[in-house]
Amino acid sequence: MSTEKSKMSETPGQQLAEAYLRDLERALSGTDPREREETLAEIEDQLRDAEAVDPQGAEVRRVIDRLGSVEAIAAVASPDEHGTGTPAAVPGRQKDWFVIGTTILSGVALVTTFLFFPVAAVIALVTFVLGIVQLFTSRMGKVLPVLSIVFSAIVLVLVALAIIGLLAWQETDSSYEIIEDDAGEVEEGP
Amino acid sequence: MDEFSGVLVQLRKGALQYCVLACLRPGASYGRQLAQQLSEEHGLLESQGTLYPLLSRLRKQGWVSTAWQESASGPPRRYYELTELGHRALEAFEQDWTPFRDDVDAVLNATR
Repeated sequence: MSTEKSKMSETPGQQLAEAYLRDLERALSGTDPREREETLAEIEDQLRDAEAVDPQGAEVRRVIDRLGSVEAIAAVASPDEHGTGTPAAVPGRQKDWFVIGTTILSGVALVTTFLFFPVAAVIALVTFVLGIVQLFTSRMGKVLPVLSIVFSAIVLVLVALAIIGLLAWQETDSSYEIIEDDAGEVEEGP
Repeated sequence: MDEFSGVLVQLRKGALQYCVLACLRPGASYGRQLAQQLSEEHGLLESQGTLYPLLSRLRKQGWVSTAWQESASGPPRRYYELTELGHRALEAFEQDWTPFRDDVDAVLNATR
């Protein structure tokens, strides 16, 4: 059975149909999930019928020409935010505010660096991780997640420099004490 | 010319869903049949694929219902049927559409 399926997937008709369905699925991302699912199912049925008629792909090509571009189909689909028609079902909008909040928080971390850097470091660490996650998941584009990452990275670098500076200062301070002690022993010796 | 090409798109956008309902008035039909009817017989659909998101919305609104039916020439098909609510929506549109169309025609004719 699986051999038969893999043989079928090698026909030009199957390849054309799968490429179109892939493009359509991509074009419909961000649209109402139910509309997307039903549209894909209807179009997949048509393409499978066409494959059965002509595995070489001529019929699939004709069906695709009739269906039109995936962009044209996506253009008439409802956006995800308003698709379900219930106020509770707006996860996309909630995520947007989450992205904005993360960017603001990373800005706060940047300002806090100069006041109390341990707090800034913790905030920056969190916003850095969130920024990376949002870079791949945000529906608002990549500008805000990139800003969050940049702000957080600046804070983390500044904090790292501050820690290195502190350690260096402590080391210098303790070596002065050793020199002072040594000097004291020399004076008291004879 | 390009700046005026969107007029027909906008007019179709508002009226197409009622044309789909009208196509379903004589009886249930499946997606491809509806798409062919609207595009080939009436020239109302440029891309047949654009019908499917619309059908999904009509179903969500409760204006059409769907049912799988065996086909004599292939796999089972999803048939769309006008609901009572869909009938009422179509009637309401018809009541508004005719005077609206007449008013637009009257304005266009009077100012020629």
